[in-house]
Amino acid sequence: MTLLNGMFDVYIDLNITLAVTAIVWLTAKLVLARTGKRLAFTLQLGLLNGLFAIIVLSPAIVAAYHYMLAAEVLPARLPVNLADYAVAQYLRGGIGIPAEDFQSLLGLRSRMSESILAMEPGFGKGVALLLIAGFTYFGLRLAVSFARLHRMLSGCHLWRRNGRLKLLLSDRALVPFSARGGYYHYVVIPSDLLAEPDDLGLVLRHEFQHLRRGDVTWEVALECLRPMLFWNPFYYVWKSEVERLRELACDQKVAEDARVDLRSYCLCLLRAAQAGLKKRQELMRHDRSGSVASVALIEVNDRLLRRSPAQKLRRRVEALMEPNRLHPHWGIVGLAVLPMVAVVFLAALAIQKPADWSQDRLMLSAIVNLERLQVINTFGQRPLR
Amino acid sequence: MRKRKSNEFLTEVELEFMTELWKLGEGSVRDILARLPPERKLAYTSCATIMRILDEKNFVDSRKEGKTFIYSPRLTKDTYQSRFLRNLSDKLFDGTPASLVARLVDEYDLSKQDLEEIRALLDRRRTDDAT
Repeated sequence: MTLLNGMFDVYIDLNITLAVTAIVWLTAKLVLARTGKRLAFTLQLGLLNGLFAIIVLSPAIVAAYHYMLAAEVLPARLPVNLADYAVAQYLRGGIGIPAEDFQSLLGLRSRMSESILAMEPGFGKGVALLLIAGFTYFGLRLAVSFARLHRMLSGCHLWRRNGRLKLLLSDRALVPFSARGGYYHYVVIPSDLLAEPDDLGLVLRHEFQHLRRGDVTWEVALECLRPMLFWNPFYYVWKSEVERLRELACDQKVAEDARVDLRSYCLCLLRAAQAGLKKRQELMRHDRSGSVASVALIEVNDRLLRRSPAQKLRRRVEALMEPNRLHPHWGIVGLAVLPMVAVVFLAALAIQKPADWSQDRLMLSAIVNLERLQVINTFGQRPLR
Repeated sequence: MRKRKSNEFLTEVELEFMTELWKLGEGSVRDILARLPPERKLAYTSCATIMRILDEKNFVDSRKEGKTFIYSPRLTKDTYQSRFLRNLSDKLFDGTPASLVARLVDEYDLSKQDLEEIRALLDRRRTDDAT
């Protein structure tokens, strides 16, 4: 197996693991909604980020598993490979299709991968070109967004500096937002907000909460993966969930502070949205700040297939007005999360290509050959395939 | 020396501060703060920051008198009005000042005297152009 084949396999596995994890997450969310349990948003976001870290680390975890298998640290016959399991089921009579068709089905992924990597005319070439075009487009878009963000930050006025944190004032920012560079963290405030001391205090609380929770770093990580996962609908589902929970969790955390008046905070969000929308109309399109890799107080730009800013604001205010959400003990959370993590790990291991030949596979191959011989003996002619 | 940021236009709050400074001629942060309506409840530090931004944007000059910075406008109100109108005309009225004036005349309830003044301005401009 060449290095390219190996990398492509890891890439496909990563996409499948993301899809499985997103389905696990949405199922857990549905179950919680059905049972009427409403978990704290901070907890939900923590779980989501934790699962995302597992997805990204899954190739390394799988490699470690195989290494331990080779070093005989783990028992060699742990049936966690989906293909091996399917072959075993077939041999036990659990799958009722001709052996040759079943073998062909097992090799489908390998054939498709080979076809794409070799850019074979038709399907392979089409998918390869689509992937290359997507990587290039979304990669360039990411680079442009970072450049735009850098230009925006360098056009701001430095207000305060404390360690790695810089507070910046901007004439052009539609709404307050947080961003980060390699070393510094930035909180950008529209300069007009200086004249609203009450709102300024609430906004700074909100943005500091984002920085404390590492939301900007997660946002940068998710955006950096976009060029790789652009075609995967589960990536967009995941990102939308993170964006929703991030703001709700941050609002919840700010509202928990006894010094913060909930009504004032809701009105502050409303004023920020109004000011942002007003400024959006005033500024030319090219003047707007890049929204990528930054975390805004409230999103005022309309995005394709997303809720409108008004709907988002309404949802946030409604969430703030809800009575206290559940925040169970970490031990209970751990017990509930363990099955989810186990499913993700098992999925990551199960979708791996089976290692070399097994006895079951030899048996399947023998059955395929016997079926072919039977066809030859019955009709006195060579099989069609 | 602080890095100068190039931005040709003022935000709403900056314009409010500049308006007071144009009226004052020159003054300290406290002088400007004293002229703002009391309901604004602006902190001294916020005002000082706004004045520092105006300095960085080249709208004001500053000199130190004792421990206090005294600010004076670098451009007149008329100059800024011209700059702002030119930008408005370019961006919103496709570079056609006639459309801007037409909108102004349509939308505002101009008195007979206002209209006479505009007419007189136009006549004077036409005479100047002719000579």
